[in-house]
Formats: sequence, C-alpha cells, structure tokens
Amino acid sequence: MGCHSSLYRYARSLCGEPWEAEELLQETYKRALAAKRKPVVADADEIRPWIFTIMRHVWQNERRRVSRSREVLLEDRAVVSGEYTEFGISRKLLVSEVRAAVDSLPVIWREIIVMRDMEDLSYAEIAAILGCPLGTVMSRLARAREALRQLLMPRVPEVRR
Amino acid sequence: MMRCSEVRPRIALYVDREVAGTEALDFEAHLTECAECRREYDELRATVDAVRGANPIYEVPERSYAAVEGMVAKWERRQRQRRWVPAVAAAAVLLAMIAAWWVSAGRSGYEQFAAQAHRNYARRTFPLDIASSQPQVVSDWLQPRVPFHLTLPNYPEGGPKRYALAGARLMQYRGEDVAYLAYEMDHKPISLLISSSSRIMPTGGESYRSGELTFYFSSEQGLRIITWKDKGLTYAQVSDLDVKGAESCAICHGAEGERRKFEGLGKRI
Repeated sequence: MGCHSSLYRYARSLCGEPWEAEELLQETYKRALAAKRKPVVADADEIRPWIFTIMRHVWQNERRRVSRSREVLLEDRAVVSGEYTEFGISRKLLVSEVRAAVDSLPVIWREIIVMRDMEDLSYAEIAAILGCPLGTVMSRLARAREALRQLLMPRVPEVRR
Repeated sequence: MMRCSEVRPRIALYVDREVAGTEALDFEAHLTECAECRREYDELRATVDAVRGANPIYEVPERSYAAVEGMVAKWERRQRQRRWVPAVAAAAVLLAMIAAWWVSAGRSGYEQFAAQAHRNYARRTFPLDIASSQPQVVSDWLQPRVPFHLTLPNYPEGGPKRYALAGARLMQYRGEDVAYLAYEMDHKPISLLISSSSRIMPTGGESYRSGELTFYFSSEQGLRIITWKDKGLTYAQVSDLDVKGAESCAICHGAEGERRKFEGLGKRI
C-alpha cells in the first residue's frame, strides 16, 4: 500500500479513464498478492518496478483481449494537437495543462513520462518494466518529452522560453 | 572539454541525474560556453520542470484505497490461516507423540512396577499393610484408602479354594494410590495390582479377547504378567505359575460357574 499513489498514477497513464485505472489497479493488486514470489524490500518504493511490471502485463493482456482501437501506439510520430486558450499560470492551472497534455499523448509516451518524470523511476527500472533495452527507453522518453514540449509551449510560460 | 556532439546525447541523461562525477562537471562546463547546447538544455529542463512541478496530475480517489485495503486485508487473513494450518498440524503431531509416549510410559511402567512388587513380595521384603485371608476384611481396609470402589469377590464360589488371599498393601504409582493384593496358591505368591488411572492401559505380548474384555499376556524374568481393564480399573496379575496364556485365568476362575466368563479366551487376537 506504500506505493498506492504511484501505482494509481501509472494506471492513469495507461488508461484514459479513471474508472479503467481503478479496475487495472485492483487487478494488479490481485495479481501481486497472488504472486508466489514477492520481492523482499525494506522501502515501499523499492517494490515499484516489480508491481509496475505486473500492472503493465495486466494492462497489455487486457488490451490484447479487447483490441482497443482508440489508443494508437506510436513510436516515431505523435498526433499532437493543442487547442488551448490562454490561462494565467497558477499551480492549479499548471496541473490542468500538464494533465491535459500528458493525457493527449499516445499511451506509450504517456507511461514513460509518468514513470520517469512523475514517479522518478530510473532508466534501468523503466527498461525492466517495459522489457526493452535502455536505449529504447532513452529514445522513447526523448520523443515523449519533445511532444509534451510542443503541447505545453503555448500554455506554460516556462516552456516557451 | 566536451564537444557538442558529446554533450547533446547527454542532455536528457543529465536532466535525469544519470550523469555524475567528472562527466557531469565537464557537461556543466560545456553548457556555460555553448549557447546552442545551453538552449537545448533549457528547453528540456523547462518541459521537465513543468511536468514535475505539476505532479501529481492525477488525484488518487479515496475509494481506490478502500477497495485495495479490503483486498489486502482479505489476503492477509488467508495468509494467517495458511500459516496456522501447518502450525496446527505440527501441534497435532506433537500432541499425538506426547499422548503415545504418555500411554506407552504408563503401560510398560505399570507392568514392570507390578512385576517388581511381586518379586519384592515373593522375597518377603515387602510387608503387607493388612494381612488377612478374608476378602471382606481386606476390602474394608482398602476401600477408604484407594480412589475407586473396590469389593473383593469371594472366589471361588461354592468350590474348593485353590488359592487364598494373603493381604493387601497400599502403593503409589506415578503419584496415584493403587491397591496391591497378595494371594497364594500352592505356597506360591500371586500378585494383583489394581489402579483407576486413565493413563494406565493394559498391554502385553499376546492379547486375547473374552466378551468385552481384552487380556494381555507377557513374561518377564520367569514371571507371567496378565493385564486387563474392566469397568475403569486396570489390573495387572503377576505369578510364576507354570501355565500359559488363558490357562492362567482358569487357575483362579476354574469353577464351573465362572468358566463361562472366559469362554473364547483362548482365541488369540
């Protein structure tokens, strides 16, 4: 339960809707509790790579089952559109803008942004969760951030400079 | 100093704290000198700072905690139960072993105790508390002293007496009072030990059943020991009479009326 918030945020990065994230969260806990081998860790944060991996597997299996079509996995190109109006940039607004921008990213970029920039997982941990080489993590993260920069630039003064 | 071609791929690594030591120092030195790399760094830094500054962007719903807590609590309960199962099984095995030891200790000790009492009596090193050939007199003396009801029968009924009561003594076996009865037949002693302890079970090498009773016959250093349980009392009879198995019973209970009690006793279990 120590990493519940992190896990929920990762679930939100994978699922477009909060209710989907909650379902994924519950299924992940169910799988984690049923796992025969559980990591023995001193800090709740240390369990995150393990339980994030479970969550991703659960999510991937569900995706294959449902064959969702509304999310398109894009590696090299992003359909990025930013129809924003001008806001003053309070923290509340910053949160709103960033959330809107992150939510508009393809899931494969969204999850890596959440893992790296929000949950502070290392490249190695992300690579383990995604089951891909370190180089893929770096290139995918770079593309995700560039897409995010494009989205945030019109709305967040700090990003404009 | 690092060149731009070395710095550019490291910008993200630096932002993500994946560059350290002298490499980080070289990187920082290059940024102070190179405006183009600095601009690229600032762009990335600003984007990342905006994202990190906005975190958490997703509010965790309270109900998600409740749902998971319920799930975890249920799992923990199951785990505790699972942990109990081997513990309970181990405890059951341990109890069974203790019970087996307890019973076996009671068995073998009682037989040996009876045999030793008999030997002592045979050597006359074992004084009787009451010396009398009258069953009623001995019963009256024993009754207030033992924790069970005891009335000695006047065997054999109606026939010539083949054996005679010699007396009794109160003994202690494992902290409980037991009655030792001495009989004599053809100038040979016969001992009968009676206990009401539920811990003491009859046992022996061979067992024979007669009606509701099971008799166990064993030998020890020339002595024949018969043990049985009847109406909550455990008996051990010891003698050196030269008879085998069920014949022992017929010596004392050989009268016509009594033989019926031991019908089928010759049948070994």
